[in-house]
Amino acid sequence: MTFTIVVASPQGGVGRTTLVAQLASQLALAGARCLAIDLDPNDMLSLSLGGSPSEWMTDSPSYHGGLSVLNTALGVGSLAESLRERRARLPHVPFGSRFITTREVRERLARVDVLRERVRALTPPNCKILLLDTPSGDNPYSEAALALADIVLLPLRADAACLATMAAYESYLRRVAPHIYPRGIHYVLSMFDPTRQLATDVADLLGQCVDGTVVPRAIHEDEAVREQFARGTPLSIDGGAQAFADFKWLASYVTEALGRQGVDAAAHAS
Amino acid sequence: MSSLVERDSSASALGRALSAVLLMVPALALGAAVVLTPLPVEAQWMFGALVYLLALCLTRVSGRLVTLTLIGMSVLVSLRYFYFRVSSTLPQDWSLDLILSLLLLAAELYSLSMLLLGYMQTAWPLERRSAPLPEDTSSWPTVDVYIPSYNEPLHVVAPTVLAARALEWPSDKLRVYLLDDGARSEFREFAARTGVGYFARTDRSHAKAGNINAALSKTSGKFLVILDCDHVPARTLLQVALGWLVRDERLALVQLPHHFYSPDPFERNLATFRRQPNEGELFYGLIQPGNDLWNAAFFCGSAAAIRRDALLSVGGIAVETVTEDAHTALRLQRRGYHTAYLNSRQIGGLATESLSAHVRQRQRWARGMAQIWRQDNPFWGRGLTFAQRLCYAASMLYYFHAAPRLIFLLSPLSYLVLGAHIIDASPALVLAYAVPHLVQSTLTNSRLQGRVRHSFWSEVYETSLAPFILLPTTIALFAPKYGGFNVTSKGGKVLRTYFDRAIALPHLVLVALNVVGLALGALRLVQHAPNPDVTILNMCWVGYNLLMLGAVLRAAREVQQLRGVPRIDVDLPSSLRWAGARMVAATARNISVDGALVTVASADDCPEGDELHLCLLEPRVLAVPARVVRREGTRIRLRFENLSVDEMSALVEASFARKDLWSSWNHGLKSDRPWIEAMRIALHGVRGLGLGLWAPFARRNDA
Repeated sequence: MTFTIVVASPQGGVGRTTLVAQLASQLALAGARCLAIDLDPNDMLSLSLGGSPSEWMTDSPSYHGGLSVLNTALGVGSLAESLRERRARLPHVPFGSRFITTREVRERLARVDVLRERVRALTPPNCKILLLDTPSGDNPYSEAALALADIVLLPLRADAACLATMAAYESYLRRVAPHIYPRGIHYVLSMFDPTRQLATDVADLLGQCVDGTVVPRAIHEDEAVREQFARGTPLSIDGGAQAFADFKWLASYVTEALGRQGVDAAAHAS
Repeated sequence: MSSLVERDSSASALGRALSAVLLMVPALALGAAVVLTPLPVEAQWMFGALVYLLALCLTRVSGRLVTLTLIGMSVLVSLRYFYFRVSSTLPQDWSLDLILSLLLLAAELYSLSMLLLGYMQTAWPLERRSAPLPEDTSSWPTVDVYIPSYNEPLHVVAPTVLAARALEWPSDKLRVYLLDDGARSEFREFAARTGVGYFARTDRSHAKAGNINAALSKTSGKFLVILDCDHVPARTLLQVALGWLVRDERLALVQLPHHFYSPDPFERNLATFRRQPNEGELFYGLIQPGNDLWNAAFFCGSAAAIRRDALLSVGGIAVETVTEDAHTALRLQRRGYHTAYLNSRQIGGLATESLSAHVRQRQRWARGMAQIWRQDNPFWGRGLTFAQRLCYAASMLYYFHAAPRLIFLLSPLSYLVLGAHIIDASPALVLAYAVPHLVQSTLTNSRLQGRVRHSFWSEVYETSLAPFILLPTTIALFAPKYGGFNVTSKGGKVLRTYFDRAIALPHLVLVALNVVGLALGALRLVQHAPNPDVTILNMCWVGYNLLMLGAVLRAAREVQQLRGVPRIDVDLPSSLRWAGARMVAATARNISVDGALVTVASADDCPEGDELHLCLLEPRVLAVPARVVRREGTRIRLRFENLSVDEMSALVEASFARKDLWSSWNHGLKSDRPWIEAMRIALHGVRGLGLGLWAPFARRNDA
């Protein structure tokens, strides 16, 4: 049984991709068989998992020719090969470089039903946890992912705009993910600066403004994350920085939430 | 009436009375037979051994009935000893021997009475639970919280005030008042900043009682809660304490335990903190719940909720004695009000910081209890049930232990030094009766009290106090109005470890006398004087006394304590954040209003002097500006400066005022094992005696 975690948000630049990468890394460290699929055309997941920028920027055939969301013509066998190749960076499927496909191909893909099929095809049967990275806002990629979600992690920045956008986004969620709304929606404060009064005020108010669950601990804004991204170091190294402790905590939180969900689902089914 | 006691219909009551009488007569006869039958030495030893073995088997079985049986057995054995003592051991003729023997007998009878009263008080503690308040919070009553203060520093009082503000209660029905008997401007400003009421007095008539009474006329809450200035309440205090008061109109008082999160002088100087129950546990953990069964729980001055009307009807807090709290409760009960005790730790305070401060505090209590005994004796006057009289009497008579204790400490010397024969029977026979009495009472008390007081420690506590409360209690008995009120100081420091010779002096004198007795005894043995068995018996007794005194001497060695500001141990996930968004995961280990100690995984980049924020992640997000003052390995000490009221308040809420903070305080304690405790105390005693030898050369107190 595969549990699907979708990371989505209405705001841009809140750290979705970082969250997916870090969570995947922590879950894999804890021994879960997981796979991360990048449904964001910005295609940043691979890089966030510790790739070198040069690989991404050049037209390296091994990278661009490999399996991606855009390019799934190779079939299941090559998924295994492809994953093996990328083993150093954790099992993941990048979105794919926009430079090797035509616009028509991309437009044909940008449909909810097609995307759902694509994700299902890419998921190996023994995968325990599937993580989906999505672009911000209202778009077919997010919609497809949300329809498949068992749990939605919604990172948000504690700033002036966030509470206002939440209401509208919640009605969007109610529409595209009714099967898990509201209990499966988990809001996590991201890039959190506790020394700012506004941030702590928003944190205090958030629970009252949304229907979903607010994750008790925030992911703090920490320069260590940016440094790690810039250096491309593997994600499993913990230097005592707060953000990594936050991600680790979040991974166990998510595991627990999935466990509860599983129990609920089983109860629902029976 | 206690809720556990039901009222029967008169018919079945008569039936029960009759059957009780029918059972009692043969039981009394049997008891009398056991007590009064004399036995030869070997048979008496056998009897003692059998009873002991039976008791040992019974201790394996839990349950109230078994406890009562053990009490019964102990009472019989002790009465047997006393009958023997009175009938067969008193010297025949009128002489010094007889006088000394009668003195010793009086001391022993005192101990027996306290033993019996203690059994009565503690055999069946009422384990009262907190009563829930009504669902509708709009029906909850108004509450005033009084925090009286006189000369304590602000950093001791601030956490109490901040935590009182944060008590969970409808905010329109809660008022906090700082009652400042010192009329200090610093406190006035603090009250203004935090938005609590402030009353100042310039005349200090009747000290704390007067302070509270003066405030009574200016406030109007239906209930008042009194908190000592260093007793920080958990946020749930009101919800726990007020349930019973709201339900029962005749209930005037709900008392909660005084819990100390800092070690008392014995715990600190003998290093027993958190390893065995402290001195206050017996009272708050067993005696008050025992009193509660008989509706005799009394007010202890703090951590209590009182019905305002009831208090006004007895004229406010009593001012005639220095233990105004117990006296007020006595008055309330005479008026027909009930009292209750809830054994739920909702406040945390500071224990007395040195043995001399502890002694001063107990001197005040002893004096006050003697004053009440003299001026408002529980056995006279109307309004109390017989059980209540006994319970109050037990609590008051406890403080008269000075003379008996001193007699016990000096009795063996009457033979060794003066050659007086105060026990007119062979040592073997005396031991055959006395040993079962001592062993059974120790065993039974261990069963009753083991959770809250380990065996033999009562003797240590009493020995430490006896020389100091002899005079106050005697004077108070004859001239109750004499003497002033000394306040217990809180929040002091012990700058360097030192031996408090002033407090140890009487014990050193007693040690010296006992050593002389020991030497003379040895001399007798060496010179083959007659009755070597008597000599040896008395020397053993001297040895026991010396070990007890030694333990007290050890407790007089004050261990350095530099913490002036109350600090609480926590285990909170937290984080250190520097200006450039660098954040390091940490764990907060202790917190106070002016600083904190955190541990990190690696302290490589935390130089001293750095300014940063300490961020607490639970229960609420909190970022407090701080500075690194010291770094030792992975332990970092931070200091807070210029905190806003909100920041201080949040710190207090995250540390001192957390719900259930103290509920698992005693979970790690070892249970009572009398033999082990005896050896432990003996070890303290030996080390203490060593200290005592060194006393003339010891370093002076620099504090």
